[in-house]
Amino acid sequence: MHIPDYYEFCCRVNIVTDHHALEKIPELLLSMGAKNPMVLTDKGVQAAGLIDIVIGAIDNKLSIKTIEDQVPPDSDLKIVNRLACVYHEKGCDAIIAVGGGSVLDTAKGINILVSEQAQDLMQFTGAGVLKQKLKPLIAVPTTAGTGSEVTSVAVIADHEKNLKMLFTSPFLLPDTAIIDPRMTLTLPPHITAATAMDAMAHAVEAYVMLSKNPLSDAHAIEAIKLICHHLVRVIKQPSDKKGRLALATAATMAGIAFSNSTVGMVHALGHSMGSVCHLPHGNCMAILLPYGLEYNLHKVEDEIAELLLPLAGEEIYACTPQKNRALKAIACIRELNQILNKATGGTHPICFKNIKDKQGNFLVTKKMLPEIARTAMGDGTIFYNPEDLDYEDCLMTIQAAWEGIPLDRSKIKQG
Amino acid sequence: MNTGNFTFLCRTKTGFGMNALEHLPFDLSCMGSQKPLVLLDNNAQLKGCAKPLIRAFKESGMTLGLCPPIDGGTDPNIDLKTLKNFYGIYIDKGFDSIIALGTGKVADMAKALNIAVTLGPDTLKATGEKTQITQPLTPFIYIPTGMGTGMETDKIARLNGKTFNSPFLAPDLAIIDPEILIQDTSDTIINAGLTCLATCCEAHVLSDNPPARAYCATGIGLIIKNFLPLVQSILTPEVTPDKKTTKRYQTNLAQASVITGIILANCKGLLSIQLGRHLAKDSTATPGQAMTILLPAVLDLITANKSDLGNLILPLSGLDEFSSVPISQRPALAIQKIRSLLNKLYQICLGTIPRTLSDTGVDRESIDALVQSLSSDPPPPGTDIKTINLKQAKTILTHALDGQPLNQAYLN
Repeated sequence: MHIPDYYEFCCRVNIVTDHHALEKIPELLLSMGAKNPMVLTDKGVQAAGLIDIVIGAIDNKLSIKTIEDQVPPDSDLKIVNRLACVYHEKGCDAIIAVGGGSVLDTAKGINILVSEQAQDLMQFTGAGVLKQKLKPLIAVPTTAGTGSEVTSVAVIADHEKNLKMLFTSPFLLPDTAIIDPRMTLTLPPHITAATAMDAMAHAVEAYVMLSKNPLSDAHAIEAIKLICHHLVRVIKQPSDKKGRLALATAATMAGIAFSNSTVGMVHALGHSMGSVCHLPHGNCMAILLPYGLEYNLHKVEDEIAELLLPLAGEEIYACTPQKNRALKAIACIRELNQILNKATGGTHPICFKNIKDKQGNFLVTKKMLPEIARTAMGDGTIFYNPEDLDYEDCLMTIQAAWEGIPLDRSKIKQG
Repeated sequence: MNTGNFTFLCRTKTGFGMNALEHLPFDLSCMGSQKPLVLLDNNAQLKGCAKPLIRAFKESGMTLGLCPPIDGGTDPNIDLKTLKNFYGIYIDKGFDSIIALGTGKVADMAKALNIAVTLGPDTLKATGEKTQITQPLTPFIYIPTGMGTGMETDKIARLNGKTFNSPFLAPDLAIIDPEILIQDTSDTIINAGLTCLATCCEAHVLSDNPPARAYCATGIGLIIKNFLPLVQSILTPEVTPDKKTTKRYQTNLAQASVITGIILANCKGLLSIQLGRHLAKDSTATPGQAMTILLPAVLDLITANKSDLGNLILPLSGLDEFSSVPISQRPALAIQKIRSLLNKLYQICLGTIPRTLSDTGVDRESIDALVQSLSSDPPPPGTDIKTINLKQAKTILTHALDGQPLNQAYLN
């Protein structure tokens, strides 16, 4: 058990996990003194019929004032401002956010404006600026991956000024996270795989980062165990409700783990991949995770070795010599990617060079790699990585991940 | 490896370790507080625990109020006159948050004061539904000066026989700073440590609540690595490690206490805890000792899925032992680990600690009367505690008498 000299741990979200968790929303909101919620979502969630399920579960026990589905894939300041006005105009007193990271970020932004009776979101940027509890916010994640239902952070983009505003405060944590498998039941296999690997990357990075602590470790291990036990079964049997619930729970646990530890180079490279090539985040995480571990192996070998137990089970752990466990753990993640690739008919990618868009064009060309490496150097998460990275290291890592070949560890500049 | 339908809520943020107090002014300001009122007990006052706290606020620009120390003795009742006095101080001087510096009694007083200053003093007199607390209270910080039993960070407030139960009663922040920890007596450490062990083990085995399991695993790990060494260092000064090591044991065990409270708030009806508390009223054992004596029989009797019991080996013994022991042998080994810890404690304490129910003075003839007394001791109103199945209770007590394994035929 690694106990740092000082650490903090916090997750004040009421986690409600149930095959019929949605039905508990009215009781939960009423207990917070709210009964006129705004339902916030995006067009994809709306089109998938998930809002109908939510509304059906609420069953007229609340007076839903408006359903807003204009949230873009990237949260947007203008939309936040407009929806805050709608919140006031319609007489709302709470938000039910149904969706992924962007919907949650937008909901948090709206909640700041309506709770603080403010016009300018900019005055609340940074850490610890909010001083009081905000209006009730219920998060209903529709993918089992991002963990944003349990994070105290919001990122809102001001596209006019071309900047992203970061807000950090414990008051941004939703009051309740509703984990209901009906919200992820219709996710296609390749998205199920990608989002679960996003959660896996959160848990694994949280466990090996320098800012880990015993409680983040315990949450990470639970998440990894759940994902390894259920992911392939759910891909093969998408209607497995128990498995869906377990994956959604794992994503929440992984979210708690990384928000109380940190993430590192896998996320730094993944963010830049997404930014430059517009790749789905989960795919980037799945491909990059073994490379991030290989890169940091000499710094955190013991921690990676410990991960072999939740990744592979006790038999393999016990039968693998101590000195080989870390490499075996990395191999297990590669093997999981291979299994997912096969189970999704090749749509779950195992390297970057083969990823194509719907028109059959390659999304990541070799020419893009230098720009990706440069962009990664500006990502904040890189600072928490156990081993330092410079531009050459980033480039070397994404070149290997592009080819789908193991990292040449002899070239890592060990600090 | 399934998850059940569960809810989990921990409103308490934990700040743990070196210089943790230094972060408190910033945390309070993030909660909109500028003027905290400190409650402490006479032991904390005597040992100078307030000094590091005052120092932490020195350049914060905040005003720190210090109440007269309360009696932290064994009487569980709160002096209402003192509570009224603190209420007057808080209101008259315009304080906006509460810091409890101490252990059980101070935390209870702080929770009652928090209800009074946020919802009005009449709430403390109310009964039934009027005692339901459904809104956030004034910011409340708990700073333990030693090991508690977990009740400090639980969501329950006890006021002279009356119980208030709300997640909003748990502290907003618990700070464990080695500088402020007082050396507890061995009796206090043994009672608190065993309470933590029993709570975390039973909740780990019985809970299909992954966040609770994560907390339990951490709590068990902290107890296993620090509990016996700390007791030994107090009772056998000739082998006492350096001060720094002893302090580390203390700090880690205080963290386990905080975790125990979080588990108690989220895992209802832990049988070893309920039975242990009851048993301690009529025996020579403390509640923690009684809980741990009963724990093996409780786990053996009520664990439907024996692999859940076997999984306890992981936090109790670590990765290598867990993975090398065959699945079929793990449940028995888990129970043996708990018994071994109690036996080792008996040895360290030179035979003054009970290992079995017989050691506490209970004999076979008195078990029926003990079981009967359970039925006349209903759970306090307002708590989540379930009524105990008397047949189960008799089986547990009978098998705890000599620390015998349960009759497997009974399980079938």
